[in-house]
Amino acid sequence: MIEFIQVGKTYPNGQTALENVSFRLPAGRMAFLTGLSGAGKSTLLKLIPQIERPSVGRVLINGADIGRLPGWRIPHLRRRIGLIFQNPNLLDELNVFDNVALPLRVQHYPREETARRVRAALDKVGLLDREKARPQELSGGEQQRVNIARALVAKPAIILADEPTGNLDPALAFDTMRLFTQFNAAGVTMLIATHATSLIRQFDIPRLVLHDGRLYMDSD
Amino acid sequence: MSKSQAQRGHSHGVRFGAWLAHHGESLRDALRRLGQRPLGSLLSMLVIAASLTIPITLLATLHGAREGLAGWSSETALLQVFLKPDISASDTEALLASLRQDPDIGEVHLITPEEGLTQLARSHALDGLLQELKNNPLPSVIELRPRDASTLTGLRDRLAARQEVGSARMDYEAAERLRTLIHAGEGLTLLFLLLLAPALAITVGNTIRLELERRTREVRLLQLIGATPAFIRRPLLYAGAMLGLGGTLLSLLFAGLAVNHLIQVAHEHGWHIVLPTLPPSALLLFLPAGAALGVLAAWLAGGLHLRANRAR
Repeated sequence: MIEFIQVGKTYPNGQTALENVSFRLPAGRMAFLTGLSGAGKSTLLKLIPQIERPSVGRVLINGADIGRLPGWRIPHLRRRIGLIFQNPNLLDELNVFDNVALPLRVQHYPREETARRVRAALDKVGLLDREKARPQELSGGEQQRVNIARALVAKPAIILADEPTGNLDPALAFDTMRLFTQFNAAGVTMLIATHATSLIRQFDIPRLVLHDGRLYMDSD
Repeated sequence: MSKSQAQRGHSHGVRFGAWLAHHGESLRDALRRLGQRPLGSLLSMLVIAASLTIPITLLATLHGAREGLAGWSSETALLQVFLKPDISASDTEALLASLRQDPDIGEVHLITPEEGLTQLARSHALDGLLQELKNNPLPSVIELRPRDASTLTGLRDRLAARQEVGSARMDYEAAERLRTLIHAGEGLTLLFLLLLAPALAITVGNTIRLELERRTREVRLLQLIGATPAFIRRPLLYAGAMLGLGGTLLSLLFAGLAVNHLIQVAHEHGWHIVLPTLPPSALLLFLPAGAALGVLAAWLAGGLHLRANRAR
């Protein structure tokens, strides 16, 4: 479960990104986080894996206040969270297999287990036959699917996605969203930041709307 | 042990194996990355080597000199008695005879002025110059060894007081003075090496920092997916060790070449000096010390960089 309690975030330059944000996303549920560019969606997502720390308020994961975590525990927190960015952020010198395997390597998974999990993740995103390819040999849509496979390969409890369909055409964007609903059906808690309102209206999923750093529940 | 405990133990064992495997991967990764920039890596090693070559050459030479003096002690020392130039051959023979009967003296050996001149010409390649001399300026010298080393000083004083004798000298005194100088020189050289260590650490640290700046995107991604600082730093530590080890190896090679050159120059001038070499224990100290310094520099540079560049 992800819970925000009266969270505010002001950057050192004085810019307030979030103000008094409170919400609760139960474990195994999925929600869209929408709002205009600059509304604070990325900041809100960054607070969950402690990429940023809240200026005020508390962020809880499964009831534990992650603001109280010592620095050395943060990598372990991040291992429970799969991150999907708008930019796939793949390493050019590694092939698809090795890019997807990275989260398992940092957790010292044995070679056989790594190979099994990577192939299962690539199978889920339909790229099993491209494991030897380099990122630069892939289309934008394929790169984003590698990004998704990397986020789910370590079987995280939570997946956070920041504009995951921003660079995809509408058909591919719809397929990607459908893939996310499948992960959610398997029990993964998902929070997806997007401003593609026409796309998210096609899914019956709760929406959190950010406007000028304040959170509203979508009544639509 | 319960089943879950056994599974957990097995899991820890397997993870430990994977952790060890990551060390192997980190070593290969470090070698690959150093190999990708051979010129930069070589230059870093050369800077280390250039800094270490002079002190290592000095240490090797001083060590060689100390080894050469090892046989010189009061136990084995000779007493050299220089006779006055105007002493006749018969007086010299009489003195020799009395010395041979002295119960304190073991061996006695006379070096005539002619023999002295021949030895001088042979050992210093001064043949041409010495032939130009109209008169032989060398005195007769009696070399003697006491039966008991503890009587050496008393014997010297007793012989120096005789009217035929110009002076009497124990040859180990000069060796003792030289030994003291060598000891001081070794201490100063080691101090110099210690002072050089931070400079060498900065060289390695700078190379590591440049490598990290080239890999900023990769490092940030690793931080985001849960890599610990130790995981990110591991290949850098191996790279630091390689740079430190490579630099030290090169410096030992350069020091060897410098010492060989010194010996050649000495031979050309007729000085047959002992080949100075560092003992294997010194090599076993220098190589790990160079690697350890590289590891320490990489650890510091990596830590500072990771602290300043947390994932955003």
